[in-house]
Amino acid sequence: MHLLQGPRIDRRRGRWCSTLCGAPEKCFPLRVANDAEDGGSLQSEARVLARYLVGRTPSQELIDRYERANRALFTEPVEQRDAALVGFISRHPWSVPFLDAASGVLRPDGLLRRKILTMGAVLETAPEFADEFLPRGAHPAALALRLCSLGFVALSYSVLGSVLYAVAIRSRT
Amino acid sequence: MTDVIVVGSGPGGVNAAAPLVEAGRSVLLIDYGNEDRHYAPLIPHQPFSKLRRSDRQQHCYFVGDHFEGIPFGPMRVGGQLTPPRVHILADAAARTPVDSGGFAVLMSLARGGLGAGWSAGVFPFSEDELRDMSLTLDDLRPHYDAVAERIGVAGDHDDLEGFLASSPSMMPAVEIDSNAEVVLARYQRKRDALNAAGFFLGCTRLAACTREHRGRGPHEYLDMAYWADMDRSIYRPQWTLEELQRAPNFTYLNRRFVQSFVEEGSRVRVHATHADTDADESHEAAALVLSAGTLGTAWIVLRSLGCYDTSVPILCNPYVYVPTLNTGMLGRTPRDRRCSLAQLTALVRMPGANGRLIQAQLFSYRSLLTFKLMKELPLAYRPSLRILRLLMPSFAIIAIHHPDRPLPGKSCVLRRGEGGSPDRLAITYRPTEEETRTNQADERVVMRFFRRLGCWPLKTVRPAHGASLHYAGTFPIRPGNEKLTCDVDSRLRGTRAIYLADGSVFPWIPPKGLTFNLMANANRVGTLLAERLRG
Repeated sequence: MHLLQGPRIDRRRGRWCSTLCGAPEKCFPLRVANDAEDGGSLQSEARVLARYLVGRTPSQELIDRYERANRALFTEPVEQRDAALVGFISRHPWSVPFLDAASGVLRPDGLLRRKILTMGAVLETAPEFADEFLPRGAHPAALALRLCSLGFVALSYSVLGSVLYAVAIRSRT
Repeated sequence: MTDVIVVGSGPGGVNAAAPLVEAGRSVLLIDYGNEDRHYAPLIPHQPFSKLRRSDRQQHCYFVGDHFEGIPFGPMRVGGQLTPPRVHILADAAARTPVDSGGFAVLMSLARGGLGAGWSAGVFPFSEDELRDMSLTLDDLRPHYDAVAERIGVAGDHDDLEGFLASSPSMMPAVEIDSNAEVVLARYQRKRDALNAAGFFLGCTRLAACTREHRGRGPHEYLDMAYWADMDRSIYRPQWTLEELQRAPNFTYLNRRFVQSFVEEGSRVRVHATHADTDADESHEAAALVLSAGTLGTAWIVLRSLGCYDTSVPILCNPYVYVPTLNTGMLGRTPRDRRCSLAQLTALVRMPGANGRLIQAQLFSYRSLLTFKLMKELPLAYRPSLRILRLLMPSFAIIAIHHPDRPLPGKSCVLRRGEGGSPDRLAITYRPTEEETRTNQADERVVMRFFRRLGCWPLKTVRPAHGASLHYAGTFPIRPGNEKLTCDVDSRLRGTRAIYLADGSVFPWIPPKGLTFNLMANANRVGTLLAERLRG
């Protein structure tokens, strides 16, 4: 099952095409995924991304909103590496922080980052998650400690993620 | 019979119409008049933090029905135009197409024009700045005062007073937030040394009512100014339009798009198209005031005079913003009660003989939402979110404005539309290397002072040319008799009774916001015209 919303690349045809012009999506009209199949994929993708961002599973209402956002925002043909990354995190949810971190450096405006940002917007504008996004004070010592640990975590994600990224973009979509 | 037709309901249009109406002249204001009727009623009258925790419908206005409030890609021009403000830009690009290369063009056909999303900074020009505009402070002072009374201005009698003229009606300043308080306290401690070095800091003068004024305000510190006008304390040209509509000698005609004008003997005829039916119509008056915004006015004037492929200047003062970390705020919990708009204004006298002044504003960040900042960090989003929650109360964003002067590389031309398509403006905007170098040197000086106040730069964001939206200078007031310029009364040369009352007439832009000044000049145009018609 594909977890990518909207038009998808037929990998086999894409490869063949890319040997001709390097731009598969320009050579072939991309197949628009079946809505029912794709809806289910988007719903599980929403759960994965929400758990990654705030550590909790959102309500069905927010999952549906994420699905609607995807249908409204991601209407363009998708590059194969983007499709591969999104497919990979859907099959391996543990990889989200690593691939997100690597994408932040290597492909900051790619589909994966856009999808996580979209989930961020959906969660931030829901009352039950407001406190996860509103600014929060901390004692200077606690702040310094927290920033150091977050910086270390972020850096580790980026280093490990860059290795995983190379694998993920070559994976099946 | 109508005395004066005013085109456009933006800051220039309504402030030109007001003195005419007060003087008893009959005024017809023609406007396209797009409005937001959808989002505004959905927004509860509550502080930002409270509605974030309680309103289940907040996603409707925070991200928009079509999720248009989720920005992808690099920081975009007009990022402060949130879904409830997006109507401000609706239809303008289709009606008045512009080919602009890398120059950012945002035009408005909204009721209130771009003023419907104005950040409300009030920065009157100084005597020195006006000298190059063939105007004096004495010419404009009564109009600054009249406009300040009409729109409501709040400010403090602080170190900015020597540079920004005060008006008798000025209300107490808007309370600054915790972030700005820390910076201002540090400034006070080092004030003598900083002043001696040419740095002055004070509360931003805002077009906001801190007490009840003309049925508006007082400001309620809800931190929702980018989303709604709930207490109507922040000035919007629509408030003046509502006042004007109560006068029997004022007529408001909306859903009209003005195409051109022609002078016929002692009358001016204005040709317009109905926005909904596309039917052509014309209206007649003794005089015409064009205030369709600098680019809209250029489109109308150049078409009306048949000046296709004729180059006129275009200005738009460059600006950068520098997100900084205010170290004095680290570990402190900010007050919830705050105003969203600019907190502090700095004026910096540049080293050197000519003593140029550069202006910067300090903003805090909260109500434009955290997820939009997440994409600015090259880190995984989860740790980014946690870092931002801790540091956001300490973010001080410094916006630095530069002056802009006409140069051969900055021009605007009207091209004839082909195959029934509308005529198009073509804009070229190429500042010289020297300008760019000077601006960057000025930024370094400004930021050196802010570092002394504990604000450490994190990055410098340079939006596209045109991003300040302070378009100006297409038909400048100049001495002499040059075609496509204005005389000192803002009357278009070669015409009998066509007056311009927006940014078009300013021959250069000092390093500060233009809006309050163009309102004062519009008030001057309306006053002069009322006297002329009486004579």
